[in-house]
Amino acid sequence: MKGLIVCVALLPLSIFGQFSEEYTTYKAKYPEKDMIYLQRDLEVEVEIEDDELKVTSRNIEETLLLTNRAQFFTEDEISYSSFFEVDNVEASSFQFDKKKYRESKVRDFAHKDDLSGMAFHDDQRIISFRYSNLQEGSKTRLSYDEEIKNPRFLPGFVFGGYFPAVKSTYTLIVDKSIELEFYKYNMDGFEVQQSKEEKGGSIIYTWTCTNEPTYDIEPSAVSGRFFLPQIFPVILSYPTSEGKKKLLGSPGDLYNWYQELVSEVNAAEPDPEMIALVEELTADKTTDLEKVKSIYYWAQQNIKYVAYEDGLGGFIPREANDIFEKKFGDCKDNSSIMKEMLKIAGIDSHLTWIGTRDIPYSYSEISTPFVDNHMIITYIDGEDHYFLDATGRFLPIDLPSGFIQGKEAMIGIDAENFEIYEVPEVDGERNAFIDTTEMRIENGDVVGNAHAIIKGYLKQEYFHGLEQNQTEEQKEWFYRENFRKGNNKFELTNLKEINKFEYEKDFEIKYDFSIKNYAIQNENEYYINLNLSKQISERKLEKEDKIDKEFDYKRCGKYHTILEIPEGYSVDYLPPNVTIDNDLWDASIQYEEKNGKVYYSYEINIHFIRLESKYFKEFNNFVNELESAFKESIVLAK
Amino acid sequence: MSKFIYLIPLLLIQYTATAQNIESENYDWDEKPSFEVIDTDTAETVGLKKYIIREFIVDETGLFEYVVEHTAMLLNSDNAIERYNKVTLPFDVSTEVIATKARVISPEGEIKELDQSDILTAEDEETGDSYQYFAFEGIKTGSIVEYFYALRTYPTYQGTRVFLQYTFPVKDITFDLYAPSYLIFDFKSYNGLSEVELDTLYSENGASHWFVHEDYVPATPDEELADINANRKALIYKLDRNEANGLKEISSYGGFSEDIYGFMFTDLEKSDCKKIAKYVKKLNIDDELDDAKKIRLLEDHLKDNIHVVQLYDPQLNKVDFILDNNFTSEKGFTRFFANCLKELDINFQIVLTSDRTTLPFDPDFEGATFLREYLFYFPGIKQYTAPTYLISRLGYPPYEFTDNYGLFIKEVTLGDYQTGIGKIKFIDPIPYKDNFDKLVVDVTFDESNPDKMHLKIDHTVGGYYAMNIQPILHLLEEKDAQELKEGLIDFINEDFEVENLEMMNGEMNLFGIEPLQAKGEVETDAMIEKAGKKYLFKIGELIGPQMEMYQEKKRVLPVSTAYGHHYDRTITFTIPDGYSVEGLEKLVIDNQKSVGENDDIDFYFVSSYKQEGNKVTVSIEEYYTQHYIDPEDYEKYRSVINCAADFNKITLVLVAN
Repeated sequence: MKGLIVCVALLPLSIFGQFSEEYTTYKAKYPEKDMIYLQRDLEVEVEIEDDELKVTSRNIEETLLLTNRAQFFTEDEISYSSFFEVDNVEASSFQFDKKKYRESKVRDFAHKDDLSGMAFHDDQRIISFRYSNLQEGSKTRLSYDEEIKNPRFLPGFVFGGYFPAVKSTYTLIVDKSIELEFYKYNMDGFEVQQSKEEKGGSIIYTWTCTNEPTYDIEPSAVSGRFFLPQIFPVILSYPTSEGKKKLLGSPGDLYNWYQELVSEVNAAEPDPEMIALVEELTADKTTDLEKVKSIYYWAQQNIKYVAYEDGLGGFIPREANDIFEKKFGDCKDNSSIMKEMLKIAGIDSHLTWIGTRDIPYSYSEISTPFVDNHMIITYIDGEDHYFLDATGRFLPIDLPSGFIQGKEAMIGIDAENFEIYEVPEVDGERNAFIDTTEMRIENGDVVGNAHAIIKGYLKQEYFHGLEQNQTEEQKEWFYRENFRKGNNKFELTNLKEINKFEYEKDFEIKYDFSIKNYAIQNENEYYINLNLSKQISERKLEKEDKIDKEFDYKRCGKYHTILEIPEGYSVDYLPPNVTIDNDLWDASIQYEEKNGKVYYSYEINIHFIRLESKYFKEFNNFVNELESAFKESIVLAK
Repeated sequence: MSKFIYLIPLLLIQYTATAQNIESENYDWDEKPSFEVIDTDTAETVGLKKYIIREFIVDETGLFEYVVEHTAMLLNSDNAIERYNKVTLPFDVSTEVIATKARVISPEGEIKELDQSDILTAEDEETGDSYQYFAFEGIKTGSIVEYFYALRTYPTYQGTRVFLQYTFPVKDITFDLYAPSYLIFDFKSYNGLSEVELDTLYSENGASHWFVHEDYVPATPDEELADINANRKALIYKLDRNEANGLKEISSYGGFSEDIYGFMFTDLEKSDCKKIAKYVKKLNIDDELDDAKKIRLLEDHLKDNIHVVQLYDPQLNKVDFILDNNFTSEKGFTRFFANCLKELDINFQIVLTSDRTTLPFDPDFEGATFLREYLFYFPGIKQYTAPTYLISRLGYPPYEFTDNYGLFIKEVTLGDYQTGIGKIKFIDPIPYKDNFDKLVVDVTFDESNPDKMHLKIDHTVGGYYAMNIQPILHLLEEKDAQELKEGLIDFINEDFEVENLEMMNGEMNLFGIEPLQAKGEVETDAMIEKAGKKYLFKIGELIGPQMEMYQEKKRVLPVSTAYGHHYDRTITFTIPDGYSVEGLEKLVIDNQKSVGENDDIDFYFVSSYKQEGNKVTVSIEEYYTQHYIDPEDYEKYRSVINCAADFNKITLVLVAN
């Protein structure tokens, strides 16, 4: 007791000086974490009722707050929608006081529409609530039931996350007449207790883990789904009074369901105005491919992205006639109108389901709707597959949208048949930035002109940026920031934009520029660093990063600079040439003196989109090596 | 921030049987729109109409306000279409939507009205707020989108600002205010908007009509470092008097001061005061301490322990609720804080002000719109604190609330009765010298080869520069805290690997008392480049990256830079043995500019060097006494700012002897 008094006197602000044993134990174990889950349980039950599957779940989360940041956990929320209905929400906080935890139940739960989502309109709602009196050492408990309206969305379980869990349990209770398959992802070597028992008419599967992996937030990192252990149960079939009914299991089963959803779409006669438009768009086109392009680019330009994802509206494309009239839609709607317009033009095309690159699963591994989140159109011309995604702009027909590169596409051939086809990853050369610069020294300033050619995804990025920056001042800012040479004394004038906002042609710009005081003058010499672009330095990775990284697309940069040697000067020193080459990246820097000029060339190729962590060190070495080379100036002497 | 809702004084309402004709109730657009689009309407977005009505109606149930906003925009680019093809309209709990209509007029003149079923709604059960949202259908480049809504709502009449300038030019802007003729409104226009006039020809059932109209309002200037909203054309309207009952100065600060004082102190139950007294007693704040120390201890404790949520539920303001739940609303926190101060016998005033970067407080026009942010002012020590801003502490209220006027509410005792009297006073900004940044870098070149160097960095910051760190460092996760500490060293170059990092005065309770200091050491080759056999020492990079300001077209708005500040940097290095250094003379820069009435220097950049034997000491002093720079002084400011950017590029040459 005496000790306690001393404590209070020393820490006059610490009113609540006592902590539980549990706190002391876990604080020592997880000194860097604000919160841990004492328990994180998901129990899923699948029953058969009136020939239908009924899926319900019970979620329980118990946390312990380990730091003085406890108050920041006060506000919490649960999301639900027409697919996932939530009921029986209970929440409490527990304060440790006089040697025991005292419970404070949360009484107010407020329902609200969730307007923060990606879709303009959907049926996502939120239940928000606040825990009372959270302090270091407090606990919280949250439990709720969920009804999963479609058994194809049978919830699996991901072991691990940002906050550690002392114990997590996934329980699946299934009517034993249901045929089931488990898909396990990253589970090899992962310690988990597993059990299976039969009880009544059900089988109870349990996975219990007492050592979940945790990870930190890292820039450009792939999501936890790529590396955390996961289990997904998939219902293959279940008995009904009319016999066994198949649900999922193979890509074909999934495709059959998707077909069911889209079978009624575009049954109506097309709008005469849409027919007239297709005729106009294809009038002077001689080949099918040209017609496809014309319709595709029209859709990119004219159908604006606005997503309505209410209930099954998240899966079923709307009518082409409707989209045509509204001039907006989401990916499915864009696909619907393109398919219909191509049909009017007499061209066959295919609705295609695909997951974006942030989803790790493939159809061949697991055939559930968790694999995809996007819809496009595939146009097949002999051996060539073209992937048409009109949700963006400035995408030429031979480029798939960047975020589906390397992904499996489920291409609907007809009502029964489909093809699974891997979308290629686009070569870096296709996204090149090619700069040719001629320059000279004037009173210590470097002045000259440059011609830049910008291709592929990079061009698309620049066009999006330029669309946002259309006034003269905004444009000036945009080019100054994105085309900077040397340092921020770089200014550009007499800008000419060529092929701006063109879908197929490369974007080109020509401009004059100056970099004030860039040449270092020292007695009879000039030192000039010809490495005017050092952007690769921005890609350097943090030493402590551990998670694979994702970088939108493969890249290529070519910089050719010609420096006029001022009269009366000659080259005293040219830095050594550098070449670095490997499968994932390569670069070279070369210097040459010819006809009173210095020719500098720097080329760099990044051949990966995703970089595995095992290459991080090597990649940083590559950047370091280039940075060393970037430190070299040429010397011109009188 | 705070929403003040006051009951409408009963005296105000004088319902007469001759009902006022309600202009807004049946508001509609012209069935056939007649917008004129001419060749020069080439901006991405051109406003063709902005019409705003505020109409006050007294009926048998009381005073109500009708609001109409009618907008038409010509959309000339895909970007403009994407920006304006969706509309979300938020309505508070008291609002009844009378009508919402939307349509698209194609360049060919074809009209497509949005079906009412396509106007969607959303609700927030907690606040009672609701939303209508919709997407225009059938837009193409060159289409006009037009929509309006009409509402009946709880009246706000004690000072409301209405913007009448947008990010795009508008060709036809009108604001109308209707009210029973015995209610006299007062108006003030800002930033060049024409004055509001009384329509002397209007005589509808005993109502008055005020209006302002502009044929053309250009887009708000698109400039960096500018307080756009503070400079937009706008008006403020307020009810000034009720001639039917002789009530005057209805929106003056006299009433607000009493109400706010009442809410803060007299509305509390005796039992609440006892509970607060008990709470404060538990904090064991020594009675002998001076006021500043007491305030700091209290402020640190409250901000660390009571969580503030963004919700305006009066239940959350109650003392019992706060004590039971450890969270409250901003208003509840302010009141709790104020009563704890009172309990500690600290003399203070409640101050209400505005964010000067969006709405400078107008000392000449009283209105509720300026009373948005709470401060506490302590006359004894002449310092402020901002109760609900987690990182702000005594002496350093958010800079946006300073250099601004505010309503200071002082407690007065009239017999047994205590109330608040308000006075408008100026809130001085923090002097530039208090916001300081002192950097000492000691460079030692590698003995064998000057291509590497060892840096000893000592960085001290004070004032607002320390406010992002000191008050919250203890609330950060270890990793984030470490990053923040390292940031004080590796701001020079993010690739720096900092060793022997030490931090002094990182504790919350030292903010405003002791400056924050970080020391660290770095091995680096980042500032050394090569030109043949010579080494290029990029000494300028040791002050970290510096902004370059470019030649713009004539500056329109004042440059706004948060607060005046002062840098003092010293770099020392020893010329490596066997080398000589060239280019030292480039280190001498002297640019001093004075603006305003006196000759004092306001923008200052002076760098110089001293060589003693092999040791070179470079001193760089830079300061800006002002945080607002008038457009006519822009070039002076730019020239000084760019000196830092010039210095940053200075390179010395090390030549082997």
